[in-house]
Amino acid sequence: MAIEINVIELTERYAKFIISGLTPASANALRRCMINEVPRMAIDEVNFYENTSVLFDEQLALRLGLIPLRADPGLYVLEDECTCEDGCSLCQSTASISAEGPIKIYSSDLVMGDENISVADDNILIVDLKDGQKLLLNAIIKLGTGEMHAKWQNAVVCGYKNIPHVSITDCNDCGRCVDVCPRDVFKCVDGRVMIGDDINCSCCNLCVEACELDGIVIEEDPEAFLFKLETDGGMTASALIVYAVRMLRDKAVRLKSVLERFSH
Amino acid sequence: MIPVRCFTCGKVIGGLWEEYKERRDAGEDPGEVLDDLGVERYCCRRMLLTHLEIVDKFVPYQ
Repeated sequence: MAIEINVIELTERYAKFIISGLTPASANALRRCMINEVPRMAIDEVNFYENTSVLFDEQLALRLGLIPLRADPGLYVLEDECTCEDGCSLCQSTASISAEGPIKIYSSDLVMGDENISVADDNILIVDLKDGQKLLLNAIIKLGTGEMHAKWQNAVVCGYKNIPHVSITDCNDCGRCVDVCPRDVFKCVDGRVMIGDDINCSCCNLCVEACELDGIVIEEDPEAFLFKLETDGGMTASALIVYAVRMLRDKAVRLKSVLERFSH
Repeated sequence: MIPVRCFTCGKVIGGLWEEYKERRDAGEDPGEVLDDLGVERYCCRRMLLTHLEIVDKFVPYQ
């Protein structure tokens, strides 16, 4: 069966699409790949030279790590796959902050060592330095994946459900299903109960229980999935999907070549 | 300080606090401000709704 993709909504950071004609295992592989395996850059180590702000070094380091950075993941290599011993320009970059209060430090105040790396959001408040407080730090940015830490996770929210199909087999237009449905799947038109957008159905079965005639049937299509995906701006939603699919394909090719070696 | 991300889902909310606070203090309904800022899920909404800024209270004890 051919795989079909139907995009419902696509913005820079959000995607909603239906993908049909694939097994649940493949759909889950795509989801896990988008969450766990697509690499990205994030601040991983921070050297503090001076910090008299209200936040501890550790708190500040965590805040810095969670700031989404925008960079092409192909520019750097993972630390584990790098040939160097303890960090080189192929596997890491730097960012620094030097400030004295009173001033509010935002993510845009990070001075990047590599111009190809930028912060996705300029207005994230890192710390509010009061009169006389100083901050001097140097951060090391590394490539990583969501498996290691959530700061390297590209997809903020990524999930899917099977496409539900609601049908009415028997109806006396009592309207109970219209009242009970939390997703407004049913609608009343001129006293007749009709099915509206059944893609919103969460399969809670409240309508099935409410119907006295047992006239509502809810089915799920096992081979069609509604994906919802949100990124934090490090990558666009469409780029993330394409990157994840490429990674999956490369893995499948590698697995195939290993299996072929065994069969000879 | 407002956390950089939502504890539950990971959405970046660190940049929304100042606008939220300004508009809330100007008398707008917090729920409507959050809708306007695109904070949809209740996990992210509670991050802003329940946040209390205590940095200024800490300063004298540094």
